Amino acid sequence: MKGPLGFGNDDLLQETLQWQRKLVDGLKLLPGVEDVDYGVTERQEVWSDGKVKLYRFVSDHADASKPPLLIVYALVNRPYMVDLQDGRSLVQKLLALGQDVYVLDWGYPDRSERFLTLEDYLLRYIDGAVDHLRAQRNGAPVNLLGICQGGVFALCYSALRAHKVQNLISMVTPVDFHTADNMLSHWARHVDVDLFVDTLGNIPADLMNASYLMLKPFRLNVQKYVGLMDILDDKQALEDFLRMEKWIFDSPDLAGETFRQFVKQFYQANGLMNGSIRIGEETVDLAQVQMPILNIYAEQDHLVPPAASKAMQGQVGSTDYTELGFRGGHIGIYVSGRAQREVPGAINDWLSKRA
Amino acid sequence: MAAAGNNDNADFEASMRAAWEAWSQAMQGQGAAAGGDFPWAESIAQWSRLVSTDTPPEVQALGARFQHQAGDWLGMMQQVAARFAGRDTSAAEVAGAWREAVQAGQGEDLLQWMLGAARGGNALNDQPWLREFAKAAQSGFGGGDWLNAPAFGPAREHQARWQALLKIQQEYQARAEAYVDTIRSVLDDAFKRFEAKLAEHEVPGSQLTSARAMFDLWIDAAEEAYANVALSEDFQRIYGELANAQMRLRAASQSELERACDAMGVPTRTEMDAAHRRIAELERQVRRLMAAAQQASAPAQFASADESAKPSAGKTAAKPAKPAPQRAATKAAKKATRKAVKEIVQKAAPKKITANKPAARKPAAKKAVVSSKPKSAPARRRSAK
Repeated sequence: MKGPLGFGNDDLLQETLQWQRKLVDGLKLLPGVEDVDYGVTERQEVWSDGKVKLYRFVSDHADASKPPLLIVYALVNRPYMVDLQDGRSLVQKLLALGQDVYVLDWGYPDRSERFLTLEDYLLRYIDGAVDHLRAQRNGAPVNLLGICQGGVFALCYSALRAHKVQNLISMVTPVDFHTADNMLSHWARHVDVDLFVDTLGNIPADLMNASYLMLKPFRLNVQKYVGLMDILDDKQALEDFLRMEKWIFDSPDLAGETFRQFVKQFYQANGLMNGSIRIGEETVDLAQVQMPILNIYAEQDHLVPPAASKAMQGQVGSTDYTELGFRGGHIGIYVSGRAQREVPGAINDWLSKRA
Repeated sequence: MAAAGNNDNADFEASMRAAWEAWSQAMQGQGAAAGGDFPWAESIAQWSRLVSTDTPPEVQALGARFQHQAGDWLGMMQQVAARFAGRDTSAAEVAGAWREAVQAGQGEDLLQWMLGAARGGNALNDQPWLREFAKAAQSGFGGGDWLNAPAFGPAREHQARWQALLKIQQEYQARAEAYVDTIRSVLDDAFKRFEAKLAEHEVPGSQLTSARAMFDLWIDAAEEAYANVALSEDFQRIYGELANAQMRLRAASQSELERACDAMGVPTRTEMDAAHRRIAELERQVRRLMAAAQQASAPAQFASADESAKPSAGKTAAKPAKPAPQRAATKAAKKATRKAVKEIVQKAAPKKITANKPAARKPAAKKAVVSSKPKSAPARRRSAK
């Protein structure tokens, strides 16, 4: 046969029958798939301020003599991604390595929280949680692990309250928001964010999710679901798929004023690169970030391009700066098999050398 | 899931086999063109209906998604594949058939979905009442001319506002059309890229071996075409204009609704927001005051720890502060905090304070607030970069 297609009618028939078998298997399997659970590790609430709660993960291995490791997650998704399920949990691995791990849960803001600002998130909530942890250790500083937007928060906080942070770890954290391949930032340039927030109040989670899906619309809206056919006969894979779907679309609305400040200062003005970020009455000076930094980025990250993360090195004051490129994407860095093998160990080793 | 029990599975499998046999016979009797008759999409639809009975919501949603994507898109690709399976063809011929199939089938749905996603998906539901209002207003008042007619009389302000609202709605429609045109150009480019990618597989030994491989190749082509446009300056402008036009329309619509609610004595979003803003500002002021009070009154509490932990890399954790000064510092901080909170509450209710004790309390509160602002440590850490 000439041309790009190297299959005949029989091949097509076999492919169709294979699909058919998958569908039948799926019919047998799907009734047994129950509501997926998530969050594998037991945790205890140790501090709260309004809806924001600080949890400590319970472990027999955690070494309380080590500085607590506080995970600061993004506002746009739920933090259970770091503890999604057995065997796919950054937290589980870190605990096993002896880290004393905490996570800050932002909750789901409602309209009464529309006027929360970056100052509230950084200097009220993060600072409150950090002070709580420090109080347990007579004022000693903590280790911060900021992820995605939470990494931006952790970085700014480390600049503003440097003496409270012993080591800073950032994962998939953008610093230069104007790299050429940053599609989200590209789109945000001409959006009148004042009009947006004044009109909507809080920014609906569905709107944010629609924006993310539009980054790769054909792959994320069409191909991904066609790919389901490959796993219709695999209950575990189906449950993993559903769990991931839940996490992706279980998104809080965003407090309007925080969204306004974040888009204007970071996405539009690229403030971390030009020193113009203001948090409340204070200016963020990244030269003040002089504690050791481990900056982990994902090499195939379509949300936070590697160049956006790697720009951190040129902006911070730290002379102890380590960079780790992870071969994977923005989500794979938390849950993929490779991530489980590489990331927690790298964090623990790096911290151990700076204990 | 009773409906998807063994009997249903057997029925489904039997129906699939029957459909396949009919399709195969048709192919043998009528040639490859009959391949388009295989009811793959209907089979998936039947499957999805079985899945959607007595299963958890996530599984039902999964079935619906799967029906739409696997049934429609993959099914369409399979139909195209069936037209060319087992015979000589070319990249141009296959790509052309795919273009026709998409344009006749899922193309418009895709465009509308992408417009919907650009408008925020389910978050910002379309407002059919506004479209109907626009139609009625324009027809009732002489169409487009009414929009530009001068407003006068007792209802002048209302008419001017409605005219403005309808103009905003028209602008939004124009921006949405510009966006859809852009996405349409993405699809055009995607078809060309698909043909080019297919051509790369014309070399013997590199031919595609399944309909699924054709489908994956199409996705690659479409994503490349989309990324090329989505990162362009034009798209940045078109996207921004659509988003802004949508927000202007929504703001104007909300304003009309608020007017109606206000007239009926119903509390409005604006009123609620005003209250929430005041609460947030008060909480922020209290936090600042408490931080300042703590800093001023208990500098020794964490001082030794803070000093030892300051920027120098790799230093060990600080030694604990001595208990007695810490207790004293905490006590002093609590006292200062109580004082600061008391002062800010007074500031938040100036009329009452003024009415009760006009001369003494008000200036004192003002002075206290000013003097309580963060001054020492944060100010030292600032630098103009």
